[in-house]
Amino acid sequence: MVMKKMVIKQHTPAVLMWTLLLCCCLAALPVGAADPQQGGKLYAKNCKNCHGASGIAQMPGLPDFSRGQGLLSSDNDLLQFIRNGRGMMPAYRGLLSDRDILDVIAYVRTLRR
Amino acid sequence: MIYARRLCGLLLLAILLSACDQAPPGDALSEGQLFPPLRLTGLDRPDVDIDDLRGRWLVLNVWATWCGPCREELAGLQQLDQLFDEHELRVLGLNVDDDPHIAREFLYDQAISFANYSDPNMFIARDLLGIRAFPDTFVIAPDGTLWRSITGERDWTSSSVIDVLRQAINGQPDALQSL
Repeated sequence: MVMKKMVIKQHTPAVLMWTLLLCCCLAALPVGAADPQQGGKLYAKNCKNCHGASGIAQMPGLPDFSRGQGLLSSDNDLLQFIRNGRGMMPAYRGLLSDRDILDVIAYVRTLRR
Repeated sequence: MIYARRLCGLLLLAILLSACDQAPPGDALSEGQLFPPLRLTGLDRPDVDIDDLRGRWLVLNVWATWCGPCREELAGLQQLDQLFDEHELRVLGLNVDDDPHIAREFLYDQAISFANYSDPNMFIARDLLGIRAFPDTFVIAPDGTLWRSITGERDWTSSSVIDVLRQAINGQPDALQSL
């Protein structure tokens, strides 16, 4: 019994350390639903110049998000589109994380009137 | 005591790991500023200090093979490079693919011969130049001043773009604002 207690006592700090490390790593993972509020900040910084503050494009040929244009695709398709760009749309891979882009998509979906 | 030290070390490591995907992007360069003194790693040629290329206009295009609009405009940039005397204007590419071999293969396949350099971890593109999207093109004056920073694809072979670049070479760089 005493021996067992000693073993437990000896290993307690190591268990504690690994638990803490696991918690910190989990906290760093992109879990949870997309955050449209955060997406709004990123939209204002990266997208507003072309797509307009309210989703009404500033340039011809761009979708009007306030009417839901361009938003019929799945989040995954839009994610790939924003990551890799197409036509007039530049690419954001490496500059915005997938989590950031999903936040932006969540925000853009709120612009429909 | 040893455990306490290990605990501190692991906590520090965990904090650093959690910050990995949250590094703030660098501030974007402003037009009119001196372009930073970059050392560019050659993709298919020796490395170069961008300051050593002063004395002519530079069009520095930052691109990737996974970026659709980047791929679209490379052929136009190739034509642009061939259109001008190298003492007047040179086109440079800075590729941000993780694997430079992919970029090399793409350039070979597309017969792109203007000077290309590699920035596989985006340290230059993201942290030094503050790029927000690809492609991004910098037009740099012979004295090293950044005149234009252009995000997105352009038709570099259009007569209006070529006229504007000729005006810049002939001493009217304000014309570049229309790019």
